[in-house]
Amino acid sequence: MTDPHLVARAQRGELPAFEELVEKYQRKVYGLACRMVMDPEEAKDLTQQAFLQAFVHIRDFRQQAQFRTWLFRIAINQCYNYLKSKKKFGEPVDIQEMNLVAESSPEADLITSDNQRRLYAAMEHLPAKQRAVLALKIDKGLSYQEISQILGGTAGAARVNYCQALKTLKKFLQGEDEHEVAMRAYPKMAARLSRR
Amino acid sequence: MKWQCALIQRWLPDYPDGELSPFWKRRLTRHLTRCPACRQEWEELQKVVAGLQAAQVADPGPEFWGEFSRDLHLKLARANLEQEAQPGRGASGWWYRLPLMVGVPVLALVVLWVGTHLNELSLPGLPQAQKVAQKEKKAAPKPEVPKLAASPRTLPPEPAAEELSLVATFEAGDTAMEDEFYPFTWDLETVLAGMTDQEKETFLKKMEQQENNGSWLVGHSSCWSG
Repeated sequence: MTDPHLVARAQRGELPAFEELVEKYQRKVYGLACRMVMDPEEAKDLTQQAFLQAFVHIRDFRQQAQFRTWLFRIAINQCYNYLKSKKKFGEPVDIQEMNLVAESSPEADLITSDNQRRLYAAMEHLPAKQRAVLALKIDKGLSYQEISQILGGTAGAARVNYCQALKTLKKFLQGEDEHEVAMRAYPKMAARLSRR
Repeated sequence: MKWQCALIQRWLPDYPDGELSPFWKRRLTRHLTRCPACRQEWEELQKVVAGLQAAQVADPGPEFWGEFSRDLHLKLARANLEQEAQPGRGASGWWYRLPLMVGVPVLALVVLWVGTHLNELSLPGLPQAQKVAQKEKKAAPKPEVPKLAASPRTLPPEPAAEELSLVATFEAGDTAMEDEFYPFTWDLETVLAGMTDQEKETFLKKMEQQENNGSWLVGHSSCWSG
C-alpha cells in the first residue's frame, strides 16, 4: 500500500495504518537521528518521539509534500531541540557507544573503525544544520532540492552547507594527522605531554 | 591559489556524480587534468565522502526493533486514547466548534456595524467641547455659492400654447389699462395705493365705465379665444 493511502487511513484514526508507516521508515529515521546526535540511545528516544509527534499531528498533514519529507523534518527538529539542550547543559558525547558497520577482516575492521571514530569526532565540530545536510545527502541520497524542502531555504543553500561541511571535516581530519605526525617526531615530548 | 581554482573548488564536492550541469562537468574535468592542487583537494574530499559512506550506523538487530515497536505501540495507543478523549479532535468534533464558527462572524458583523454607525450615534462619553463644536457646525449656514449659470433644472417650465397667446396679447396691447385690469394678477388696493387722489378718481371712473360696458371682458375673451 502506498504512503498516501496509509496516511489517509491514519488520518481517519487507524492505528495499524500508522504502524505500517512506522515499520517502513523507522530505520531511516533512526539512522538520521544517529548521525545527528551521535548517541544510539538518544537516537532511539528521538526516533520514537518523532513518530509520536507525527501521529499526533497527522491530521494537520495535507499531503502537499511527501510523507517522508514531512517525517524527516519532524525528526530533524527533534534532533535540533536535543542538541540545543545538550549544548545548554554541556553533556559530553561518547563516540565509543556508536555501533558502526563492521569490516570483513579484523585488521581492516580495526583501521576502518579507528577512521570512522575520528570522523565522528570531527563531526562534533559541525553545526547541526550541516550535520543534517550530510546525513540527508550521503546516507539518504536526497537531492539538494529535497534537502531544501526538509530543512528550509534553497537548494543552493543546501549545496553550500554540504560543501562547507565536507571542507570542515577534511580540515579537522588533516589537523589530527598533522598532530599525530608531530607527536611521533618528538616521542619524549609527547610522553611528557601525555603525563601532564 | 588562482581565482580560477577558487571558482572550481566550489563545485568539487559534486564532481563527478553530483548535481552538476554538463558545462561545469566538462570544465572541472578539463581543469583537474591540468591543476595538481585542485586534483589533490578533490581526492581528499572524496576520501572524506567515502569515510562518511563507510561509517554507516549498523542495524541494531531484531531485538532492538522489537523493543522499539513495543514501546512505540504503547505510546501511540496512549496518544490515540487521549485524542479520542479530546472533544475537538474526534469525528463529531465540529459540534463543539459550532459556537466558535457562528460567534466569530457575528462578532465581526457587530464590530463592522458599530464602526460604520459610530458617527451617527450621540455617545454620552463624548467631551462637551466636541458636542458644542458639532452643534455649531450644524447650525452654521452654508455659504451661498454664486451661480455662474442657471442649471437646466431651475429654468421655469415652458408655457403652453394658450398661455403663449395670452402673453403675446398683453405684449401687443396699446394701452397700459389693459394690463392693469387683468383681474387675476392685479390687486386693486395695491394699484390705488401708489396714486394721487385725482388719479384715483380718474381710474375708478374709467373702471366703472368699462365695467358697465363689459369691454375689458371682451378684450380678454378675445384673448382667451384667440
